[in-house]
Parts: sequence; C-alpha cells; structure tokens
Amino acid sequence: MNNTNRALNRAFLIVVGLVLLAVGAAAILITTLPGWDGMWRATSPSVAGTVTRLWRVGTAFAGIPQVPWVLLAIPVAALILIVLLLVFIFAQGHGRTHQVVDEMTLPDADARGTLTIDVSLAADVIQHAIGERRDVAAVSVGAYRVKGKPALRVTVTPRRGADPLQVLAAVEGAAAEWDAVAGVRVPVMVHLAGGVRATVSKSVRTI
Amino acid sequence: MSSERAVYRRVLRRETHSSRAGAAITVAVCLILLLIAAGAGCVFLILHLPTVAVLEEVFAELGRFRPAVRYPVLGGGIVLAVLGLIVLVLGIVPGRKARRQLASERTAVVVDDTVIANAIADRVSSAAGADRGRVKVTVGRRRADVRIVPTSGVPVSMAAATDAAGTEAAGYGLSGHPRVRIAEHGAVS
Repeated sequence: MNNTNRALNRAFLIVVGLVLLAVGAAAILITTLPGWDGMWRATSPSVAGTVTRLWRVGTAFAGIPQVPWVLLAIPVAALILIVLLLVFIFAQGHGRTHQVVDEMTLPDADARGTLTIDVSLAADVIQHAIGERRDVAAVSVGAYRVKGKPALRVTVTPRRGADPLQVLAAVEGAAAEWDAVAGVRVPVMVHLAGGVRATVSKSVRTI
Repeated sequence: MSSERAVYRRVLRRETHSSRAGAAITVAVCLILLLIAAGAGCVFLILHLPTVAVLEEVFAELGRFRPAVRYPVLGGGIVLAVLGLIVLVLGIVPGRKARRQLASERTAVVVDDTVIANAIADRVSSAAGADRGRVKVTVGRRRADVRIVPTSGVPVSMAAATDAAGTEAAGYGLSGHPRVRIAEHGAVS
C-alpha cells in the first residue's frame, strides 16, 4: 500500500536486464561464431586507437604529470551515478502517515477549526473489537496515503484452525465500529495474513 | 462512492502484485558496487600510471584474441546474459503474490493463499475423518490441491473430502474444483 514507484522499478529492471543481455550475448557470439571473432579482430585496433588517443589527453594532477582525463572523468561520472542510485534506493516505500482523517472541516457550520484523527485511535478501536478474539493471533493497523487521501490498512493473522470468513466478518464489524467513531468513511484495506505468526500461534481448537 | 472504488482498485492491485522493490534495490546495489570498483580502478591507474606503450601492448594482446582472452570473455558473457535475462523477466512478468482478493462491500480484502489452504485442510480433515497433520493443501491460482495420507487402517472418505474441499474453496472464489488425492499407503500412527 506504500508509494513505491512500481513503474520506475520495472523500467529500471528492464533497462538493466536488456543492457546485460546485450553485452552478454555479444560476448557469446564473438567467442563462438567464426564470423564474429573476425569482427573483434577488425574493430579492436580502432578501439585501441581511440582509447590511446584519449589516454594522451591529460593534465597534471596531484603532482603526477600527465594524468589522462578519462581516468578523472570515470570516477566523477561513477560518483554521480552512485548518488542517483542511492536516491532511487531510498525512494522505495514511503507513504505511511499517522493521520487517518486529516484536516476535516467540522460538519457543524457554527464550529470553527479543523479535525485530525491519529492512527492510534483507529488501532485502539479495531484492536478492542477483534484483538481479544480466540481465532485471531495478531492485529496490526497502519495508515497510508493513497491517491493523496489517508486509508487504513488492517493486517489480521488468524490463528490455526480459525475460519477465515468468520474472522473477516468480525473485521468488517470492527470497521463499522470505526466508522461510527470517526464519523467519516475512510477506505479500509483488510489483509488476512498467513506466515510465521499463524504457524507459530496456538491452534483455536482445544481438546 | 466512486473515489473509494478507485482507491480500492489501486490498493488491491498493489497488494496482490510484487512492487519489485527487492529486485530493484538488489540490482541498484550491485551497480553501485560495480561503479565503486570502476572508480577505485581509475584511482589505482592514476597512482600507477602505465605508459602508452604498455597500454598499446595490452590492446594488441586483446586484439589477438587468444584462448586466454577468449574463454574468460565467453564465461563472462554467459554469466551476464543469464543475469540479464533474469532481471529482464523480473521487470516484465506480473509478479503475482500468493494472495487473492475477496468481494466485500465496506472494505478491500486480500487473503494469503496459505490462510485459505489451512481453512480447506481444517474442513477436509474434519469432514473426511483424516488426521489434520496428514492433510496437505496447496492453493494455486485457480485451484486447490489436497493430499491426504490416511492413518493406516482408518478409511478416509474420498467423497466427503472432495465435497468439503469444494465447499470451502468456493467461499474464496477459487473457480476450479479442488483436486483431492488420497495416498494408497497409509501412515502408521
């Protein structure tokens, strides 16, 4: 439910994948197909010529005479790319908020000011409604911004042996309680989760 | 409320499909390491600057394309091509999570397939009289797969098992009828 830019992630993977695939395929073709290694032999002198020409273009640097510009340009370019990649990595996720209802204008025309409601209130209401049920192992409540507006995310881990549809009905009941408390309708996402907590938890049935 | 519908559509889509954040971060970190290595290589070359003659000799050697050059290039090429293909496929395929959405009026609901599998296994074991620990259920995209190992000497009703699995699976919108298999040889308990 977070704001990860999924299209960007996929575009990034597709571009990197295509580049790797192209380079790898070229290397395989050059080494295995007889026609292609001739190409390697034919083009390598001109590549070598270009590199040595670049190599000769230099400057005095840090007391060492004639440092090629390429050797200075590559680390700088690498540094810029690294910064961009770090920005890309740390832009993953996000979108969590602690306000389930934000800046709501009070419905009463005479009242002035705005109202905000914290997630912890929603968490308390929902926890109180279903947290003690015997078929529920864990409940967690969070709020995220979706399309600019806050939405609730309720993750419920049913205990082993629980009827998920019954748990779901109880969660819907809790959502209704929350609606009554909040007075406004906030989108609610319910996730019935399996995983470690469900397998480790005690079974509902007691013999 | 149409805006709520739109929010639910987005949320359900995002909850049932991978964001590819893990793959993207892994690839980005690998690229960063590669760039660090390139930068460090350049710094090393600045400190131990080879002459142009040495450089030309290296290129001439590469140009001759002897097996000592050829085989590492081939090996590297294979590794790169395979990695590239994996990354490309990760970028293209939908990446469905093992979850499904259920219809609901007030909320948007997603349920992990393991939760559904456990519910089906519970129902089947009590209906067919099989030990709960010996009923294994896996939930695929459209259909559940039920495998029962009966306790030796205690018969398990195939009809009851199929029936129970079908009823339970239908409650979660699994369109295909569950496939139930009972092992020929029971387990001793």
